[in-house]
Amino acid sequence: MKKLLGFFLFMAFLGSLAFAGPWGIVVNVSSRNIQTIDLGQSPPKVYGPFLTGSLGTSGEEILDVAITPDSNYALISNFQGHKVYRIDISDPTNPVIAGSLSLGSFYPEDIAISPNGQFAVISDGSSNRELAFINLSSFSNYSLYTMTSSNLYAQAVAIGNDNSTVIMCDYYTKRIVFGRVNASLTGLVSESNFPSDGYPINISISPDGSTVLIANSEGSLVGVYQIIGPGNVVAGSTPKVTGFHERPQSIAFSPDGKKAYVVCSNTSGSLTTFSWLQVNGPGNVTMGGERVTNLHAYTYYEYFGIDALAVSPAGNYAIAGNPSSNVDSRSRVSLINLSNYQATAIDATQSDAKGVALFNEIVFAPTNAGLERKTNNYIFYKEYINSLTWQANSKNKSSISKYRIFRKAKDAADSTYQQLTEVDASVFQYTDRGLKKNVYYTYRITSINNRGLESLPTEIGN
Amino acid sequence: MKKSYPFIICFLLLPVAVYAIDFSFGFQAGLRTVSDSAIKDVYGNGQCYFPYAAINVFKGFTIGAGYEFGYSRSGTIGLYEEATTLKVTGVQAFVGYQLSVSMVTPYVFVGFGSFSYTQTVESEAAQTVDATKSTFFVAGGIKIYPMKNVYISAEVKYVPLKVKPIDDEVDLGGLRLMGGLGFTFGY
Repeated sequence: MKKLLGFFLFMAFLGSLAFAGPWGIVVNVSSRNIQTIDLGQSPPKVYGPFLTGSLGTSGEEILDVAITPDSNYALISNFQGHKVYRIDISDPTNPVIAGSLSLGSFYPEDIAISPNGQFAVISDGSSNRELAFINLSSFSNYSLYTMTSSNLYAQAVAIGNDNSTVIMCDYYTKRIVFGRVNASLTGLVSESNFPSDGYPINISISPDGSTVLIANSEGSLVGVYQIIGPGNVVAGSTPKVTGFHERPQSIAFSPDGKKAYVVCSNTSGSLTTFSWLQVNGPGNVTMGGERVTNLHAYTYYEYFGIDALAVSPAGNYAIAGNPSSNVDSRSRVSLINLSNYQATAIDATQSDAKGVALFNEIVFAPTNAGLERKTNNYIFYKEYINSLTWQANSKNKSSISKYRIFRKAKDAADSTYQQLTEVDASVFQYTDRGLKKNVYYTYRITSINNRGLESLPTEIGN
Repeated sequence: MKKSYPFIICFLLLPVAVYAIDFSFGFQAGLRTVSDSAIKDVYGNGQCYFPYAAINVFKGFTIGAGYEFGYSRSGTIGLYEEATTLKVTGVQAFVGYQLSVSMVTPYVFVGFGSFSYTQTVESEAAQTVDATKSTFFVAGGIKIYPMKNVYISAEVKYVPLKVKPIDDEVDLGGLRLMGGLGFTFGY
């Protein structure tokens, strides 16, 4: 029953917001700034670079980026600066720093955020055998968890959709490590590990939380695993996918989980390649198309843990950064059309763009909508009035410019909704006058932000 | 059509006038009260005027006709206190009896009137009420003749006028407390 209630609450949450975009965010490693990309435009429009000089000092590198589920924040790791930055991206055209955490001597590399948005786990890309756990509700402190498995490290990390299973991989000892998050979200319980076939450097978990793919660079393969319970991982029924000519670096699943896409780097300084895998079932993955296109990034050895590939929520395209530790001035972020695997360079991006992520800009519907039926007595007759009220949704970080009001007859089809009016964002009420007795209506109110994006409606009626 | 009522009534009275003992023309002005509390709250009591003509046809029996106007009141109405105006006019015909006692003549009338009323509200959400209703009424008063052909009058008239032009029944009736001046021309 509680799960059912939670489901309905979650659907209600989804029902109050609207997605637009999507937007991409790229982390430029050595110039220590970010760019955002409006992928809703053709060609994609690039904004920035932003925050130059604010994300670290000379010699430091910002590596990975991960987006909170509400799309309001991006977390960015600064490896040598020992910091994690929280960037408010609710207005993608004006990202601003919304806090940072200094992690002592910890070297933040790969960032994984739990699907429920409660916590993040960050790997240490250096010689520390620790993971950092950050409670995202406050973003004010962190806990370091020292791995219990002897002599193991974790360069890459991922969290399952059960919000409990954490999987790591260690390139140096060629092992896969996994465990279950403890109740206080500060570490792992039941940590375990097993050997990997090759050198694991990056992890991706399928949307349904069942299949784990691990990019194995020097083995030129992708390891396949299966989550069979919280913190419980086994080898997949197809334990690996081979046949890659280059080194897999980043993997991302399609939203429906039926495909996975792989970016491979190489050691010759030539173009990055793009392949796709067929997901046949939990832990069962086979090669779909190897090296189906070249990307616009010249690589030379691969970064550990940095997620250089992201698939759009609609699954129609992906963007890929440069997965290499090498910065080649010719490299740009690639936009890959997933229907025909054509890749184009997004010219305005920088050559040192590594970590990428995609997110939807969200506009939330107004809250606490109310309707009061009033009667206005003109003595010879009565006018009936529906008086609507609502409140601004505090979750909206972008500037709301107006509210839009629609009406349909009660019990009529939704297709009969007609727009009544728009009111300024400072107005939180609308009076629908001149109504007849026993004639009732249902209303929808939407928020419109300053870029014209409209939320899903909040609905109220007589 | 409504504006032609006085002419029609005069035309109908013309054959009677041939046999009349005397004619009277008068003008009354005074207070028009309203019975309905809602009407009273918004519009209140007002003035009204009543020019009329009457014919004393036989031993004090009188018939006549007149036009009541002047009740036009403004106020604010409803939740939003919007500006509104109510106007009531009426074409009236009456029959009565007057008793001549020296210089004082008391009289009583019964009559029938066609009353037009218009309500306007300055609001896009409102509709204009413009309708007509006919009703009987009663009146009584006295005439005092300070001179042979000139009289002053004082009259109380009650007009019951319940109307329902749209949804709600409203009592537009009320008393008229009027005084006036008249002239009598005899054969």
